[in-house]
Amino acid sequence: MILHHIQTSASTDNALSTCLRYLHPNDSILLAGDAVNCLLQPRWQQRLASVNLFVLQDDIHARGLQQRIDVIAKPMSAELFHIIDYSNFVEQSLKHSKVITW
Amino acid sequence: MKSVAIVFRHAPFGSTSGREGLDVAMLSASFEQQVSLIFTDEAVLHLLSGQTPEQAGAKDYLSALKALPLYDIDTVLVCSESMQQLGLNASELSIDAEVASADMITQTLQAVDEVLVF
Amino acid sequence: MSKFIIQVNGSVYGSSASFRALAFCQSVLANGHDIITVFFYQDGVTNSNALTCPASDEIDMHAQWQAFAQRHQVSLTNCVSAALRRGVLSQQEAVENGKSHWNSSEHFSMGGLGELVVGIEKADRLISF
Repeated sequence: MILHHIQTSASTDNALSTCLRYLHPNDSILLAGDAVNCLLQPRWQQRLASVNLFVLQDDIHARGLQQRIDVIAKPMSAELFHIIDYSNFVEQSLKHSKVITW
Repeated sequence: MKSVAIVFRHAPFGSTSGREGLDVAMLSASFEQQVSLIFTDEAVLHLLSGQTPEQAGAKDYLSALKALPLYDIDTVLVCSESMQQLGLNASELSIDAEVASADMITQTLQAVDEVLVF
Repeated sequence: MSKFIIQVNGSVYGSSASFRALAFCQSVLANGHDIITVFFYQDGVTNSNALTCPASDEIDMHAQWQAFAQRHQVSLTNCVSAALRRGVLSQQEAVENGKSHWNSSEHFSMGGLGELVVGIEKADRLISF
């Protein structure tokens, strides 16, 4: 059970797509920094729909994306989509067996 | 002792991440950690023979790859999908490495204690 | 209580990774956990450059790391070889390399990659930024 930590934009770096190639069904993905922007794109919304997903709250707020992401998250499963703060990030890093920063 | 996988995902020479990742791999091995290497995406190009890093302004760190067995780094996985995308064949690899499916790499990532990506 | 080792590869300016690393470190301590060391590698070593002078309305990551280390007695370790390559020197490296200036502040110690490896061995979790 791995927490895959993605910090870079999916438009300029393939960290997210590489991580998805090696994702185990029990793993989770954390989107931080510019990586949160991928949620605006339908193609990433679809690819991530079945993944246990964490998104760093400060990075959503900093980019003024909160309302958009609320709308985008609505049809997604509440069990799989989590907006978290740094404290939850620390907690999840311990709940998962390791964190891979791509 | 911990088991550590070092993943290389960036192309050689354009950045120094391959070189600095290899330093971590060799140092971890010399500190008696159990080290596996995984090459994926354009980083698989590190394993082509006949490269001249100096012409790209880089140190020749690729020759260190030949010394991996001396460091007891025996597990070197190369992503078959990435190789296919770039048109590489197993016979063209400069070192003894295992062409690995995505599933196999997934299993390795699950099995080790820590993973560092360069 | 768990033990973390934090690796920072993002530079002092030009990337937001260092900022997130610090926020994570603060949260680690606020939740009662321990940080073995914050290990600066690749471009992360520039965080120890005491000569960074951002404008007063910009965040100064060097100052922030220094204040964090002071307040919480957390060790900050630079990879010395990554630092030397990037012109980040402590007084000792300056003397050893015949340079008349240095820029790495005293809150950052210079260490080898071995400290990262030993830190990983001792830690419950490695988190990189």
